[in-house]
Amino acid sequence: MNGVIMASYFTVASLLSIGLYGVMTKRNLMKIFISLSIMDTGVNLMLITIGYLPGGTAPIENANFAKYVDPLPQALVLTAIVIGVSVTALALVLLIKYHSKKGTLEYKGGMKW
Amino acid sequence: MVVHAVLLIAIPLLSAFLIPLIRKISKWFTISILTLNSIFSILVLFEVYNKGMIYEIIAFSPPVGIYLAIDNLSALLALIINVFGAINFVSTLKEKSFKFHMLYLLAIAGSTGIVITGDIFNMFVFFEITAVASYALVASKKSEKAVEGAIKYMILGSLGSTFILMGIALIYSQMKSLNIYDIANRISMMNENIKWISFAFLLTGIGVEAELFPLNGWVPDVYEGASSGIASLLSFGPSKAAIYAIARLLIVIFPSMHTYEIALWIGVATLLMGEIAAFMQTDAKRMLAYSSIGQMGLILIAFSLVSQGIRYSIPASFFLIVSHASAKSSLFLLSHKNKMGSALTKYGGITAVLSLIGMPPLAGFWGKWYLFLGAASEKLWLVIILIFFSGIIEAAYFARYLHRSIGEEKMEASYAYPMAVLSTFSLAFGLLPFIYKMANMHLLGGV
Amino acid sequence: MLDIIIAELLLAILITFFVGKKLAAIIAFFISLLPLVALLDWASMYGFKFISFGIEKSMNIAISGITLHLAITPLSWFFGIMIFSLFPAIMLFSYSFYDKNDGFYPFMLLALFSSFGILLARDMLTLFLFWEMMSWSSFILIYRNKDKEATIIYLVFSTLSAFLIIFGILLLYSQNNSLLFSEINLTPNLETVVAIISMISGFAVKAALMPLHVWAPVVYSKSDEPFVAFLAGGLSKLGYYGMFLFMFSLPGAKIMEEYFSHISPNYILAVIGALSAFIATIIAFMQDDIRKLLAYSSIGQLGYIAVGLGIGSQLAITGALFQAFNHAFFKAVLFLAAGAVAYRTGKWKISELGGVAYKMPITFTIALLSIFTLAAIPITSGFAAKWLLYEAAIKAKYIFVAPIMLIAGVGAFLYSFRILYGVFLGGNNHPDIKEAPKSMLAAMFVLVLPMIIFVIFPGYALDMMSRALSDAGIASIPHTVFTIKTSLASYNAIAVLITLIAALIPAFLIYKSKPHRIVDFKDNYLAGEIPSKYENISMHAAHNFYKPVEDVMKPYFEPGTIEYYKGIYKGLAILSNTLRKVYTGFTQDYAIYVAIFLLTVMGWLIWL
Repeated sequence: MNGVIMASYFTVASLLSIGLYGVMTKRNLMKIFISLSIMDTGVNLMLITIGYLPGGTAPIENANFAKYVDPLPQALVLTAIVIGVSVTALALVLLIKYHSKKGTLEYKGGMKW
Repeated sequence: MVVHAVLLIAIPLLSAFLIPLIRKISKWFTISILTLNSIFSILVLFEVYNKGMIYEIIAFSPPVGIYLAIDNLSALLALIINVFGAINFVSTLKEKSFKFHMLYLLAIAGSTGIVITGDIFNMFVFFEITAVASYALVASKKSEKAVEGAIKYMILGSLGSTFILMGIALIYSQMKSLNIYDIANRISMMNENIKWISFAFLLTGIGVEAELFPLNGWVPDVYEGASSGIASLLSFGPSKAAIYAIARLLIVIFPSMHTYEIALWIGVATLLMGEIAAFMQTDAKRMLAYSSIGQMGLILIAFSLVSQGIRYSIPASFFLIVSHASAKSSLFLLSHKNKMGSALTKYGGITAVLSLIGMPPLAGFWGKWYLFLGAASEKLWLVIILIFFSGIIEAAYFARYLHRSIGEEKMEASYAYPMAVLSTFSLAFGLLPFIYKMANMHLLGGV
Repeated sequence: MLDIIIAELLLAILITFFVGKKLAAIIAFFISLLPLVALLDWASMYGFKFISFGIEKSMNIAISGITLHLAITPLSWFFGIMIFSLFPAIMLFSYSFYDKNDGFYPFMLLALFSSFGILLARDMLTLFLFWEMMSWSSFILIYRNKDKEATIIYLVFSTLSAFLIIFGILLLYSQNNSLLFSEINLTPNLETVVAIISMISGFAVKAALMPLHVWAPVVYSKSDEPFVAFLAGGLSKLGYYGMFLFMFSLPGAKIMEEYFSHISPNYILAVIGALSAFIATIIAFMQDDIRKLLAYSSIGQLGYIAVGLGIGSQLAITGALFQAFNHAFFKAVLFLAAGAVAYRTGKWKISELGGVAYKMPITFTIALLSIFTLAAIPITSGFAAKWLLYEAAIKAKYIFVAPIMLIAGVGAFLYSFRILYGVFLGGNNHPDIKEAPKSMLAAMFVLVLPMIIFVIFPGYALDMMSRALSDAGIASIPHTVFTIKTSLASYNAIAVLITLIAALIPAFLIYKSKPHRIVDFKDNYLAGEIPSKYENISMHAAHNFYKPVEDVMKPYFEPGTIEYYKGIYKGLAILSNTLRKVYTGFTQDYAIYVAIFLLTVMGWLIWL
């Protein structure tokens, strides 16, 4: 396997683990959402890596393209990024609301059982 | 008249984005769109009833291109989501904000999309549309609890959708395809380990929305925090769409004894956990939320019986979905005041509860009946006994709930009427003969 | 014709929902006659010709995919006559009992409709479907009274009963691949035996057999009397119908005997029935609430039927059916009479009642007749039934069952005496009450008629039963219109009657010949002491009537069975409170659950 791809997969794995670790341990809601964004980035990178072909060009039609990367994952990533942005935006709105109600972003327990 | 099923998604989606332009009349616009969509969903249901499965391809360049695959269950779910959505909207008429109407339409469009799309990435996109809209809808009540619930929902939902995307990426890396049926046909070519890893990711991701144990931490808080109308929407919309997505995953894409077994035990765990947690719950909405969890477990058990009891599995899930959607949404509306003053709310509430417990001739009875027959045909006696156990617990807390809801206080008409109409559905679907034929069409994935 | 009857029943249910109270009662009364008409029409096949409309004897209702098979059989005909005679009377009674239509009539008619369905069902789905419909229609009737305990306990026990029954159905279905009774072949293996035991327990819940009876006292004492008359008279009989169906029509009892070599569940059923009769009778002593007393009395009397089914001999089953038949009528009458008394006085406690007979003589006479039957005083049909059962137990050498039954039989007389004395006789505490309304009297009178008829003609009852039994391949006991012959003895109703009258005439003459005075009950109670000294004690003969018995017995009945069920409830509550702690409210924990779930699923699939 190509070194770039290996490195890329490794990055994906670390991003996912870092993100998951953040979600599992942080009490600060902002940090949780940052962790989620990190995970999201990891998955996006995963998609890109899947479509990547070593030495391939951009999938734009021109006279001498022989090897080009799979265009579909890139389109998927675009969509995913858009979704990620909107989710993050909404998350921030909710955090503002939460802050205005509680005066803090630390979650110290609330509804349970 | 041939209705393009794609209209079911396209109309509410496009009109949702039209709403900011016509803020003044957004309420009536939303109502008319929801009504139109309900009519379309009924037409689609009849088309599936008459002709069998519908495939529809609207070609753009991928991934914009839409591939739709509608079987009996998805037609039914599309009907439930749209018709119930229109009825349930009546209870939220007090809401004047155009944003609310926009989000409502988005949630409807997204949930409908999940059930009728035949493309796994589109499914993800619709999941996100639904999820984002529901986070915002939950928070729209603006109370502290609502915001807290919405944030919890959002954290787990985002985690889930990351996992869904991961699963999709893994599948795509092997199959180079996103079409569910294309993947299903060639699934044996997939690397065994990657296949299971992607299944695990998808199950976890969708399971968050489908309220499976132990992924359902958000459920009680969200249902408690959200306003009654939204809690009701969540109970028949996104959660039902998600459980159907799991069915497609399980039955169409990854059919194997192992996945069925996993689904069965997850379903049993979800059922027991939900019902036992609901048993001692004093807050009505929270109790209903836990009970919802239990019912989702029951539906998942029904799907997991597909290997031997296909004859019973699909009808069982069909009726359980109808029963749960109609009963739980009406009970959530009832939980607005939780006093059954008028005869309408009283009998509505009783019908809903009886359908959930599984009393004939309501839809819930047929659901449980087919479920039991399916489980018996696989000789899963332990599962049957566990379902009995949970059913008795359910009867106990619902009886307590019914007793607690006795009261002279009357609910507003905007809640009482939708509530009564919604609970009538579990009676209607239990009685209408053509529903039985519909339920017995084994269209799902051509099995 | 049958479909028209069914349609009319359904239509009436709808209509009674919306019309006023008087009209609803009238409609309900006439509609409740329909099943009876059908049964009388079908009677022609058993040699009784009353009317003939030619109502078809079987019908299949096909709803695509599912077919409901309905047909009349001799057994269901017998139970039908019993149960459907109650309904018109109950409707008559309710005409003056209720002052508004708030759901009694439609759900009562629904209960009637589903009872009709249960009796006609020829496959297990139909049976179960109507069984459940009856469960929930009676649940709504109980729910109307807004009592928390009754609501919960009835729904929980209905669900329990339903699940036990469906478990049996599933076990039988998985073996035979058919739901039709006619296609079920029972073979002596573990699954079949479990299925039959499970079903019997399921039906036993509705038949209020100990230890599954705990719902009955609660529900009976917290519901309206007309409905309780149906519960005690009709619903419990349906439970026994179910047992009979699976034990004898389908030869479940025989299969169990074949499978268990030493001690068969049939014997256990007989013992449970006898214990049920014995214990419930003693508990009935101690009750002050007349409804609770009647409820425990019901449990006791129904226990005899279980004894009969458990013994399973020709004599025993005939006795059981006879007992069921009697119980349906006398218990319905007693509950209605209690309802009528409460309607006029508003009281339920025996210690607060008394002397009602002076103001309500007709109610008293009717209740007296039923109490005679209940206490199995010779000459009443109650005696004939119990006599058959005793003899069956003795002949089967059930040395444990027979004496217990006998003691319970005496006990029944002791508590019926309390009803008689405590409610109707004794001090006149109710100067300003009137006789019960005419419709209530009519209702009770109609129900007491069969008891009077079968006093003299026990043979007619046996005629009906022998046909029901022929269905299960059991020969009938030799009998004529007046006499019943068994191997040990023969019972001649006319002879007993004549002896009784002969004994009564001298007593009456003595009574007439000597001067007598009416003794004030205080004289009686205080034995000539000065009343003023005892003013602050409850001067009621029935109050603490069996105090010595109570003092001795009570410790043995503490804690009651219900306490064990409450223990289970509490255990579940603890389980629930512990388990729901996993929902800690912290998303961090939930994220950990998600991760664990993901890894578990992955691991399960990859390594297994």
